Amino acid sequence: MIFRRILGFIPLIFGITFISFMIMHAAPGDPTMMFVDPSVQIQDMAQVKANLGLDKPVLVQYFFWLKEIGKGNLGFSYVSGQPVLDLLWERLPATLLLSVSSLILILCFTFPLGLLSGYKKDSFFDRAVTFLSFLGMSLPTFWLGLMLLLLFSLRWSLFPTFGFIDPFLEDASLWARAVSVLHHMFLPLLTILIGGLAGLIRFNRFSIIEILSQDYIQAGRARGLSERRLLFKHAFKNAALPIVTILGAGLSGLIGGSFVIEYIFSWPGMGQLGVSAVFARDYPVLMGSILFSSILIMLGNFLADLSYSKIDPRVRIR
Amino acid sequence: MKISVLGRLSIGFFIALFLLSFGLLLFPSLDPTAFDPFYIGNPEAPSWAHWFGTDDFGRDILLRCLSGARISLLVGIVSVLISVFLGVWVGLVSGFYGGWVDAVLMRFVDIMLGIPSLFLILTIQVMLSPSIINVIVVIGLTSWMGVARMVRSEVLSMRERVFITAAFARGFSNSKVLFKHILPHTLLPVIVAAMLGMGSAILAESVLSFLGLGVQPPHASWGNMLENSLSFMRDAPWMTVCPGLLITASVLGLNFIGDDMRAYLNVRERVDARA
Repeated sequence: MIFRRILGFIPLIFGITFISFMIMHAAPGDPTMMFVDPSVQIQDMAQVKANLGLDKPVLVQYFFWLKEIGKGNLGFSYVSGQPVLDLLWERLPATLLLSVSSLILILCFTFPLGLLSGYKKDSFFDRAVTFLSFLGMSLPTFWLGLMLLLLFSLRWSLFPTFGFIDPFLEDASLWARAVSVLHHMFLPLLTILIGGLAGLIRFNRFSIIEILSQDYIQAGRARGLSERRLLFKHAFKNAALPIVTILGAGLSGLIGGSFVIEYIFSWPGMGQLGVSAVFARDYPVLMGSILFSSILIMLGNFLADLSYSKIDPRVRIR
Repeated sequence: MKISVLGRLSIGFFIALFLLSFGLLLFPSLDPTAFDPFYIGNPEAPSWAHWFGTDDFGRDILLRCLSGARISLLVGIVSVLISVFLGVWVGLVSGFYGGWVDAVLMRFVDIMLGIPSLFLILTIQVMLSPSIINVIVVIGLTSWMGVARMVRSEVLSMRERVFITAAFARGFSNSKVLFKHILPHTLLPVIVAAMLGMGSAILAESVLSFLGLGVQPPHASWGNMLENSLSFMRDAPWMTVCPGLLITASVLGLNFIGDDMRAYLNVRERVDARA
């Protein structure tokens, strides 16, 4: 069952890379112009292109790219000449650290806030949460990041303005390095959290309200179950289901959004790499980033499906 | 129709923004691109002469924010029209015809949703020359998937309804049933999604322009004002604060209005329709 689900992702990844590849290579500009010395002769430029395989039809280039991937070769960066796979491997931990911890924190905050806000519908607490989540949905995340940087880093110097870890701590103890990473991670994490939390809380609130009006909750009340038990045991699970689905579907937005955040905070993740690759027209790096992030998104969707069937035994992965 | 206080405030905000930003065109003396060579590199803090302060060229930030509003509203409205048009078509065709057409279209939607949209938008934008029209088209072409999925599911549930069976039984053609009987029923959620989508489009424009790939100077847009403010963040925070507040206020306003409409039209809240 699970195996079939994974197989289903493969054509999707082919599609994603194919479309990205086509879009990229439909570009009227010439990527070689970006990095070749302007003094190079025209005929030598043709040689450069031939070396990179850029003189062949786009379809041929795509199949060539696929073939190389089969061998575990994602190509070489046009800019630095380094293997793309190495570049991405280097960046993956930072991106995973940021996105997984933001995902966990988002879940930790969404459930209690959404639950209480739905339970105490129209109370002051509910109104405050509703207003704040609207605000969170409307804030441009990159601007929020800039504001946090402005206040906490530039004004009050509480947090570093960029990077992953203090460069002086290369040889320090594991503990000191972990603290430094956390210190650097705080602002980007907070930014992603505020942006990602808002929509989910609101959604959770709606499902709780809908569930609490159902007969089985009334029946539970009539049998004398405590409100706490009703809420956390009976309503919670059913409200968790849609959240998991939405989270799976919203993952691409979350990952995409965190790329801008990485860029702003100079967080050495895949997003920062990818965004700079766009500007440099570094196609191999860009294709690699798209491939990696789409695999991440698929993986997230798959995990969402898995946990869905764990929470709700009625749902079986087809 | 019951409009919440926040909804009223939002409508008022947009009316004021429309009037002020377009009214500005009537006063050529208030030129948002006029700069004072004396102030170059020396942004001035908010004062009575310049309510929002000036930027590094000595240009008035309030005027630039207002002329940027024209662009942001334009981008929001037109790109949403494009994405709604595409989304409704794909959703209608997919839900109505089903079978392999549906399978192909929905896989295409999955693929589009699987590509991190920022990379997609940036890549297209890098290869096209960054202009307002390109920004609008690119945002429209990359944000229709939510609407398509939503319309498709509406069509699927409509098809099961008795009045559709009755329409077929009366011998109506496919296109008549589709456009006269099914389409109108899918429009309510689409209108709400369009409201919320406009907010997303405004946000997308600001990201693009912020990264230097959207609206180009000397035209002002909220996003490129933010890009411009980066090097002055420490000394002239008002350059960063003002455009950002306007973006937030507009998107917030659209969300409030959308939420009121959703409540009024009795449309279910759905996060996945947000492009």
